[in-house]
Amino acid sequence: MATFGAAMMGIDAAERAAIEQEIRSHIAEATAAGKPLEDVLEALGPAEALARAYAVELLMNPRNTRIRSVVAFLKLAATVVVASFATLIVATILGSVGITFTASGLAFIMVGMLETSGIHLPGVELNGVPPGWVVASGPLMIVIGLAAFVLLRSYIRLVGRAMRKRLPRAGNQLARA
Amino acid sequence: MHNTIAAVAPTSLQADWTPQLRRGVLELCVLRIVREAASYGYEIVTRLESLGPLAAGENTVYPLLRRLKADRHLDTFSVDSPTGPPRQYYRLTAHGQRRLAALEKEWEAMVEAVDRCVPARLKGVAS
Repeated sequence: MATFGAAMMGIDAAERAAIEQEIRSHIAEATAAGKPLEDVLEALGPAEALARAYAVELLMNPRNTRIRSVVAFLKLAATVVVASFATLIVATILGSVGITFTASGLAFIMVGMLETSGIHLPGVELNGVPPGWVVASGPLMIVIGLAAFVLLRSYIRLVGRAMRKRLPRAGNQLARA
Repeated sequence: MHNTIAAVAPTSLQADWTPQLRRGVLELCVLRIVREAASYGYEIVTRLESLGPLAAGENTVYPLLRRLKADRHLDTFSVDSPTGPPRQYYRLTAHGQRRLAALEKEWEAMVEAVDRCVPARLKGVAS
């Protein structure tokens, strides 16, 4: 069932749950009627083939990929708009933090080490901060910068999963078939 | 010669033509079964099995049922089962009744056309 569920990822989550329950019900009914479990599973066929059969019926049928109602279209549009707006803000903030903190951390390490060695770069003022502290703060800033990149990556993957649930994936299903 | 053809042909018919024919009429048969009485998936599969040439595999019938539901020809309701997960019963919708009527009309026209195609002398060999 786990293999079957994974192969059905292109289908709406609620529909997928209903289909899985129906298959479980079929197995229970058939075995209760005296059929050996192996025969029941063999009759159902390989999980990927069964999932492909559902995909052929549900995803390739043009009537099923069409958005049927104004409400469904508005939900889809709202998802795209909200995701786009949030992505604009989140990507800008996390991207900026990631780039500036990482670059600044590297610069702090470099400047701090140069100051410690007695090399003073023109235009660079530490304002009384010990060079050792400058060097020490570099790795911390790099970690913050990298953490921002990791958060950005996680956010993008989250949005990608959410969008895949909303939008039909007939193309991907065919590619896997 | 016709007897030779009749002796050789049945195996290839069962392998190729019969499954194709069955696929073509399966929707009609499923809708007819559900019209008689609301039925759950396992019931429909075993009913088709009892009809010999119409025995279609579970991996054909179940996806078809979901598609008919998605197309609003059928709708479903759950009933608790003594054997396991709740049974999902299928019943014909008004849209499905119109669809079935259209399929039956088309089927009758097809049967009549095929009957006209088969010459009288071959009808004697086939029987």
